[in-house]
Amino acid sequence: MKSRDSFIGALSGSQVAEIKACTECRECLRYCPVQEVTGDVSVSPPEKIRRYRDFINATDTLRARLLGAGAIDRSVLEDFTRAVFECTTCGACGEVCPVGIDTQRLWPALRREMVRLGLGPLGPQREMPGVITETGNPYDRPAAERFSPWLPAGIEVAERAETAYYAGCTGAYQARPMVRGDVLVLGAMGEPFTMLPPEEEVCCGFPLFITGQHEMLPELTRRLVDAYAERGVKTLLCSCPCCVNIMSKDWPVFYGRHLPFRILHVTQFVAEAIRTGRLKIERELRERVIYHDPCYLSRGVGVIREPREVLGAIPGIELIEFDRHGRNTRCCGAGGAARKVFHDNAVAMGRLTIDEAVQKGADRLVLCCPACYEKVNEAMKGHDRQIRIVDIMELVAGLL
Amino acid sequence: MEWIVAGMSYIVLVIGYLAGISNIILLCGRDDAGGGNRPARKVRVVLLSLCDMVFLGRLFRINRALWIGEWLFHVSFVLVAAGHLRYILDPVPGWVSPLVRAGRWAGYVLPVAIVYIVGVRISLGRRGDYLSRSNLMVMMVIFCIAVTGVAMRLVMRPDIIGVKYFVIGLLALRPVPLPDSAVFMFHYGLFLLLLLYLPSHVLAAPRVMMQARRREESFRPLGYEE
Repeated sequence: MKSRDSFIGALSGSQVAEIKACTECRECLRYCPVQEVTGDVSVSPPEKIRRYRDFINATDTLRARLLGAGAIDRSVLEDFTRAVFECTTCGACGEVCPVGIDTQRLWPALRREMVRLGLGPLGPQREMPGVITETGNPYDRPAAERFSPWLPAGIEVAERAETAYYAGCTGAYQARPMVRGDVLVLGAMGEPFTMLPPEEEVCCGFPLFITGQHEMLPELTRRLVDAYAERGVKTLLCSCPCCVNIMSKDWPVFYGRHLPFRILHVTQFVAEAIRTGRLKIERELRERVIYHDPCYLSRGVGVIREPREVLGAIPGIELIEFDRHGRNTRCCGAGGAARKVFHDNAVAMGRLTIDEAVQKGADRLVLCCPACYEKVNEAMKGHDRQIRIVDIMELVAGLL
Repeated sequence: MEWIVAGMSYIVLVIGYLAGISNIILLCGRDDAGGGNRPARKVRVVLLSLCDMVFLGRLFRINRALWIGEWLFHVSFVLVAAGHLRYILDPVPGWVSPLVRAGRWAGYVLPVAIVYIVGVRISLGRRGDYLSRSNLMVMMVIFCIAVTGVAMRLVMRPDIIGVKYFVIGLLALRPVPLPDSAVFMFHYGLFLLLLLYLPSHVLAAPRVMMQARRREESFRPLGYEE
């Protein structure tokens, strides 16, 4: 079976230029986490771009339009699809690209194109639209279990407030100590905050966006934005970097206009409260902690300083850094919905993060993303190196 | 014979340049994604982009060992190409003379820079995977062009007047026979091969570099949007 379809339907002109502009210098290979654990050059960023450029050259160039599109073998396309879905979309390659290709946005666009051509997504990713329609979350869990297992009884959630908290599906179902820490800290600040009822707090759309399945995104966005707007929300807080990314970058596009509220990561809100004296961490923690920057928080939306400010406000704490931190952070393996299909890669990447934390003599590994939290905890099971893993708000909540 | 050589040259020029440029316009000129969350200062973006293009600023930030080789390679390549203006322009204007002198020296630097780049990349990579085949091929072609150029300058000098007549004839669509020099024929054949495999990044990279600068300049972290 051969394909003669266009390959640029879902790409912007800028993204086609990026595909044309790759010099194949392979500088990014040294920073690609998938490359690091698989050693397979065929899934590397420049190789994916080269192959996609070949597809465009065969079907979309002037020659192809004048003389007819060349045929591309289905197996070649399937091979490429597997490579582009194996990527964690961490964007480390784009950060070091000498030309400046924005790969954290390019890979999802290529995935979308593969979905349009009927080649993606892969495995369990295919079930997500149906599952989200059915249950409101990609984990196929009932809405009734969204908050009840972790939302502390003493925390007062207002009906209407200027600040709202969005727990997110991964936090609510897979990383509960993390979201519990979020609401405990927000509760300790004494400012009213609201949350949507569990059946209304549906998926933000990121798992669909990142796997190229865009059909439901305008509807999900509208439901959530309108629900928060009706509650008078002016600031929407979330602790999941992936949710924060789609909310701040893509919700306005899917909603069709500016959002009626601003989006903040929970660490930004807490750092501001610490700065202004509205929150004080009383208890001391005499430990060396190492903080892992989530890819979508640091490279995605530039939140690097605030988590460190929060940790720095803990009396007695010593904060150490990974060799690669800030915008240059190394993916822990949880990103891009790749962990759902390429589980072994994700575990291997998670173990690299654990190994470096242990090697640097940290007492605890502090995370700030529910996907990282879930996957790094999973990676530690059966691993010969062990370290205590904690979410930043879980840590703070325990010291108030 | 001269018409065969000229025909080949014209075909390669059309495929290498005109098709390349038209494809960039056709494929990349559809829209502009933008991407930032505040307007960028245009003059600053242009200046920084120029800096990225002329000094390979992004590579400088990432890998300085490779940067020095790449920068020397690109600069010497441009100077060598500029030095060849004397074969294209008739009469040769005065401002070409310094370019010819600079191009002569750059001709010695070019092959050295290529060897250095390949060496650095091999030393950085695991199992040599730091060097792509297509990249290596283009560099080898340029290396051979540079070496034959140096050889023609130092040991196997062709009839320089014949070379000029040949080039002018091509440009005027009045082909004349190739000069009787095997080294020149090889040098010119490799030049045509280079045009044929002209990497698409030559045409698209400047736009992407500018795009990246605009994205960076217009980016403000979450919560700091203007």
